[in-house]
Amino acid sequence: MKLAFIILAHDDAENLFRLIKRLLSKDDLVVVHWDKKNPYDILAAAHEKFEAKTRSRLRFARPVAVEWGRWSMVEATLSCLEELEQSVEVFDYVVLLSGVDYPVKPISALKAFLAQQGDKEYIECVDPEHSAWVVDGLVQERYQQYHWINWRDHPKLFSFIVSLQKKLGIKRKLPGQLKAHLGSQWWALTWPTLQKILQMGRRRKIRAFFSRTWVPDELFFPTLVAALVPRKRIVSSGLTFYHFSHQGRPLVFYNDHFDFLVKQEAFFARKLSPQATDLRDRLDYFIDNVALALQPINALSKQLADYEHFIAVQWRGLPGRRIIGRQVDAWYGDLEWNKLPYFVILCYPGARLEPLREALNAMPNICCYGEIFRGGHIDYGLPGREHPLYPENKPALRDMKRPNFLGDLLHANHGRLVGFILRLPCGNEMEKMVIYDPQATLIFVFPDDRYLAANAINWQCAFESMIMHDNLAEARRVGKQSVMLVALDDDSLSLASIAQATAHIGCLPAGIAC
Amino acid sequence: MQKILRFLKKAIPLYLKARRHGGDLVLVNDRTTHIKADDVLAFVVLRNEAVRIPYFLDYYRKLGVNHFLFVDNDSNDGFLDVIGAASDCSVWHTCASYKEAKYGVYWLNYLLRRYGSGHWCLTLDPDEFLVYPYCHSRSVRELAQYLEQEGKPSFFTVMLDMYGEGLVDEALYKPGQDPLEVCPWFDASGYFQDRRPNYGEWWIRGGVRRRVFFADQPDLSPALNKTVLVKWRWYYAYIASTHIVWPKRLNNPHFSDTLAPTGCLLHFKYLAAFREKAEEELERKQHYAGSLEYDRYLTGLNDNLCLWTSASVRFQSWQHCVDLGLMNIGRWF
Repeated sequence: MKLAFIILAHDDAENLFRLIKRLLSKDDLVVVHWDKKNPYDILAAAHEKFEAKTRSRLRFARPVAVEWGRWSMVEATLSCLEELEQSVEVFDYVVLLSGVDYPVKPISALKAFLAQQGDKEYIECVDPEHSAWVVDGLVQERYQQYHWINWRDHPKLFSFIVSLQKKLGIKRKLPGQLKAHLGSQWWALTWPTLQKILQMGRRRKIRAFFSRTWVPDELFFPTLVAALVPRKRIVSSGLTFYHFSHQGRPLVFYNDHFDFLVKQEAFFARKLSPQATDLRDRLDYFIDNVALALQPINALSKQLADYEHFIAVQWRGLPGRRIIGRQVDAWYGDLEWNKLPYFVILCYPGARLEPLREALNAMPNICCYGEIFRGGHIDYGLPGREHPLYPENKPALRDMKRPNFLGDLLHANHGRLVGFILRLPCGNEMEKMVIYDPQATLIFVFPDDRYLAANAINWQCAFESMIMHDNLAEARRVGKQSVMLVALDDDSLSLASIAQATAHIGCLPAGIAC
Repeated sequence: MQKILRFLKKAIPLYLKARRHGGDLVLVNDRTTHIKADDVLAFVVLRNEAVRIPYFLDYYRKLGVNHFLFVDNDSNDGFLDVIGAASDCSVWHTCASYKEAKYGVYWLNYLLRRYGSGHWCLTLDPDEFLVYPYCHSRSVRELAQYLEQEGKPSFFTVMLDMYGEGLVDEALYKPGQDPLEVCPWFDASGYFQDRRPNYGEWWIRGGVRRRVFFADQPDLSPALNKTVLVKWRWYYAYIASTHIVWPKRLNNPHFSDTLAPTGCLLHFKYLAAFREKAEEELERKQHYAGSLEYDRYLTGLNDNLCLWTSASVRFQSWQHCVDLGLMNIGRWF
């Protein structure tokens, strides 16, 4: 089996030479296309870098000034194929690579794979009318309208011209019997097929059509291959592993991606960061020493589980963590990221809750603070469980943003269910905060019906009761299930009430682990 | 039209001020010819920080910074000798007032416009060390390339004040030493973020400064948000140190739909030499708000404050900062 590699490169000669060195073995040939726009003298550099023996297997194609998304990309590839045509040798396969690709499997394994699979064409070939291939962007417009300008230079003008043509009803037809197919630029094709493509590519009509399409490199080869080769001989996948993000940008691989790349069932990977020297070193070692002992690949496939997991977790930020520089509701502060449940005992000013707190703190993994949001010092009420960054005598730190203080306190007590007492009205935003916070469980402690005294109404008591009822009504409106306890005559809670509260709190989950 | 006028109204004064104060700078160590087209540059304003420079250079060279541009505000500790013949350091000297140059901002804007346009530029103090997602295996240039590919011209960071276990006066630092050996601790919680209207920047306050030096008036505590890495264009300008950049869009840490990576700046202010520095700065009154900050620092130092608490966290790696919610990876795989 004899292979020829075509490498399209526009800069970074160092990594290009490294790739060439990696690819060249005794029979194979490498044809490099170096972008005409880059004035660097690649021929001289290659002459200096490689010995005569290597140089004899290395060719440089006629340079074309390559512009992304335009016909010049195809022209550069065709120029390499012409270079191959001129040599007397016959190759079984031609593999198209770019300067930022790198092999992830030995070339010998690639040859074995190609021989075992038989006479197949490795090119992505997708019929845009039947299935979606482009993540985001133009599909049919790429070839049904005329394109004279580059989207990268004039994105607005580009869109305007496309929509204008659509309004005018311009719809180009492909020449002859061709049917449009799309696919990645990176392919591996047999030499007889490529010869036919070269011949077709010389036809004026075909050149004229494709040179006015958008991103013809993803259109020209798939379309011609689909027309020239029977469907069953086309494996709709290249030999190169690549992936595009949801935003349509190619993934770049860095030094820490070795494990991810090695998992891929493909022979090359793209694109490697130019600085990823470590990754290239490790891949070299892997190819030379480890890969030979591994099972050969039977089918080409992408192993994207790691990447998809990463995106699923990361695209909104980690669960339960603050996101720096993002806030949905400024009112909640950083508490909006909190996923740790907590409970709040909302009571009227005179309630005596020490017995309830003691009962709760006696339970395992529950920690019920005192009135932490009240007054000129932070009343933790739990010796040894103060937050070290919020000293008791520095309430200003707490008051700068109370929800943040609560969030920090919850995270400092990891693994415990935290609660505190809030006397209503409390005079700050925490009153409403806890009612609307989905993580808060509320326990209301009402005064006894003492406002109906024997001879007159006890207004003080009536107001307290009213405020409690208002807040309870609001909590119900939000859809919160809360516990309602009524204090005894002397403002304390009955044993039955305490038992009810502890039973309710004891059933609460302690929150997700994060 | 209105847009253009608004732009000019802001851009012209900034340009003129930068040019006026840029005239105070004298190029004493000119290596700017070594700057190549796509280099990552670092801009630093300093005064008497020679002790920190060897490790600073090491650290950022390792991260892939190609050239350093220093503004030396009249140092007298042999700063130029420390730089020596390094081919990647250019130095400008000035005796002009730091305060009048808006705490160095006009000098920076001048140099950034002149040398930084078209480059990815880091603007740092010599006591700030950048940590970003994957910083142990990916260079600043790779970060910059990623941001560029995603169409994000700036990179947002949060400053983490680092401190040692004992008193500040005991945190002795030797030239060339990794400051993490002396000050590995920081506050993992107790931060507060808030978006401000004028420039749309995220105003982050908290950490050890707020907790110790501004505990009674936390609203006065200094900002910790910094946009240090920017793909500079000629009309960009820093407004207040690196806390605020103009135009406004550079202050947005994220994309409109999803998250972008953000970083942390490890800030090693509280070393033993800090007392000397605070005393000097208080004398010179060249810092923001009549050096109020330094007044408080000195009071704190005289009270023999220990910055360490049982809630302090020892810095481990960038991953650690992500776990604590101080840094985002965004969707950078």
